[in-house]
Amino acid sequence: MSYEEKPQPLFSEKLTRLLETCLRCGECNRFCPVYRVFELNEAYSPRGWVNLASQMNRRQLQVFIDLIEHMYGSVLCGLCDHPCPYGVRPSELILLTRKELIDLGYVPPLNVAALPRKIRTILSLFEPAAAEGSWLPPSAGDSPEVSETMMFVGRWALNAPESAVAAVELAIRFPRAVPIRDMRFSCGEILRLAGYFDEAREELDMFAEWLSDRGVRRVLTACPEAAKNLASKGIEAKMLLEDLLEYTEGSLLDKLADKIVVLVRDCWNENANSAARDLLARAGASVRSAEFCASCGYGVTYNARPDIIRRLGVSLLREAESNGASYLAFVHPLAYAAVKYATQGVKSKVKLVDVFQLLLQSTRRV
Amino acid sequence: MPGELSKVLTAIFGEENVLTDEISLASYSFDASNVRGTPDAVVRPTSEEEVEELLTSATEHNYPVTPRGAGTSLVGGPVPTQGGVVLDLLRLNEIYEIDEEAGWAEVGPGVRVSELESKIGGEFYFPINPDGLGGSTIGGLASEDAASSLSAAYGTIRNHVVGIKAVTPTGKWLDLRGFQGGGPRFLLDAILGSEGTLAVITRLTVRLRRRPQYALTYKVELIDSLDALSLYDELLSRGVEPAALDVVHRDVMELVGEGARDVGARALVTLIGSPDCVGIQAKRLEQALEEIKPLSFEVIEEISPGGRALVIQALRQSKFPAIFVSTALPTPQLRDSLPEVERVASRYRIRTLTVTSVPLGWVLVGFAYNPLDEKQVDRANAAAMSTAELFSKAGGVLGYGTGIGASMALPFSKQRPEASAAFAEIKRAFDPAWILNPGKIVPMRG
Repeated sequence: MSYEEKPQPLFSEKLTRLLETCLRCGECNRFCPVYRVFELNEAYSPRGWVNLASQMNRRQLQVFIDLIEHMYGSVLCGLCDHPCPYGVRPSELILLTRKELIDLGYVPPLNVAALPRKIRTILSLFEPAAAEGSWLPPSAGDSPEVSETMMFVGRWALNAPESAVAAVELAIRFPRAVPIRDMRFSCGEILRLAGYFDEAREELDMFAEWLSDRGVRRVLTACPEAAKNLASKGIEAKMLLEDLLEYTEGSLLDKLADKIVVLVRDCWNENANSAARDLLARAGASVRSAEFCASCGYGVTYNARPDIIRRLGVSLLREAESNGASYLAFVHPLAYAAVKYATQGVKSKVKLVDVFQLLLQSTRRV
Repeated sequence: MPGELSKVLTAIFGEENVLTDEISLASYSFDASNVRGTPDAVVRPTSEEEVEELLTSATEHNYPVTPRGAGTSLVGGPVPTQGGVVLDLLRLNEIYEIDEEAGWAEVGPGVRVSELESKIGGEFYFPINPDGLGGSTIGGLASEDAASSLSAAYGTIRNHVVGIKAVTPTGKWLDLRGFQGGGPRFLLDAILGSEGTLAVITRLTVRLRRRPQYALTYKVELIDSLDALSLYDELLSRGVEPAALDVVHRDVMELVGEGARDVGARALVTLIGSPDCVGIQAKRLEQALEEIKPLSFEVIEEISPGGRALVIQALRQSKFPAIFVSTALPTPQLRDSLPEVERVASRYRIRTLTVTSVPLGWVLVGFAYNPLDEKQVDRANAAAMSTAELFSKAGGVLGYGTGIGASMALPFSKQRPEASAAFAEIKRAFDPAWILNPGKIVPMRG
């Protein structure tokens, strides 16, 4: 490189342009849950991550292993995307940076986000059991294999079998959907969040094809995000939570009477939140919203650092304790799984659950 | 970073509140301007005493300390251009007391305007909110001598800080918390707006304002920005002092998609008060409008977010950043300077995002550029420097409402050598070792 020559940007022109649009006003920081639990440390803030990406891009900062890992500090909840006065979407920038880093060969350390490898490992471990549907509740066994309405629990079930079981039970008891037993499928969100956009599309296409081959008309999804993704393929998809809201009128038992439930919202899906709130109220619970939300199920499990999820989780548990709550309930099942995993060993009187597990307590066996 | 410094800082703040890793240092190397500088360490105090210990240690061991709030400065105020330690004050963010009856609050320097407003009743507000978003800290606004569109009615941050507690680089405490500094007001005024170069403010007593009973904003489409100056004269001659009168340049209106043929500028005139009082003022404003013959106007029943909010919206539409130059000029000089800015822009073939608060004479000019086009970046920089020079020659105060910071320090010392020498004398009295926020206001020591 000659003296005058300026170094080429590290990232693509598109990402470079997006990174330079950010004026570093820091409006986004105020909304970031990670920034809050790190006590307003700029390094753990949307503006901080965008700045680091930009410094890497301008070659002012060498890429090194800790820095790659640091870029996975965001849980990609997207709360920072709305307040930006300049229309920058920090979560998208962070996601794109991760993807371009991987494309450049800067793969994150295994304990953070080596996503495809990790999925494959998990799948190979679980596949025999998954193929037999052994995590499905017993009542599912009596159902026909294919029906016009099917209940879809993605691969996340392997991480949160207890909430998958609860979701399937509820689907059988109320809307009477037949569970899809094949565990190969996912809605693609897990890959998309890791920055594998093409692979994400392929996953979703494969699933859509499987459904249409079998004449499945309608799909109920336990995960709020999956409904959105399937709908984008023209499949009639509905969140189980919304379906339950229609079917459980007058039939949920008030087993949660006098119980305070602190609800961890899904920051991507307000409909799921309001359905969860109404259902829990139907079961007699007094529901309060937690300060932080977490829709980042996939994000937290595979793409964010467990130490960060632990901090978020502890902060949520403490908040629930100070509210005198019996339960800390997650709208998003994977967020539940991730926080539960990350807060292992943390002592608390508050029980960590997802909404399906709580609702199941208030139903009769069919 | 030298091991000895690390030991000194750890002894004061504890290991977890001293950041020295490369990622943290890079994360505290910027603000909302284009100034950059990497520190050797970042410290995150949780008590006022820690700030005192840091400053005395810095004076003793001779290392620079740069105080920082939310990092929203447009002029590099919190950027450690000479390395050393960044003093992150965001965790001194306690709201100690709110007295709505008396109309004041005592806060830590790290409290953001939005946080304060969320804690006070809806009847009150804090009008010094330059970006309209509330992201800046009260300590930062006080240090940088901030103003907003409503400063015509309410004054600047100076009129809203009635007391402070601050510590000097030699560890002397200035407790000026009694009403209006509890003594000679000039001492309080010396610290306010000194951009964190004389002392570190650790507590502030600020005035809260009652929301006006009623407000009207006139959006007036003009052929030329200068018509807004005539409108202001017409209003004054009719005994009307508007709470805000911002004039926004054509380029801004075009970027937000509200430009129109023949429209050279939009004026936003805000009137506040009781409904009948506003009614009388509005009648006179409409008479004045008949004199200056605008292209059109419309009226809304609220305080408009002001011209600066439109500039931000324009940047959002254009997806381009901008370099800002800020000044305050008396009206006659304003009349000469605004067309000059246009000439600078056309000479450098660059879009200007200009907003002028006419009653304050406050002009904020942004030169928008495509960051990927290096020639355009250079042209924007050159245009900003020419503009700073032309404002200085017209007798303007550089950095009005934003501070001088690092980015305007050089033009300031070049064009006002006596003033910058006087500042250096004052700084030496407070900060003999010249460790507190060096490189700001004046580029170099002595």
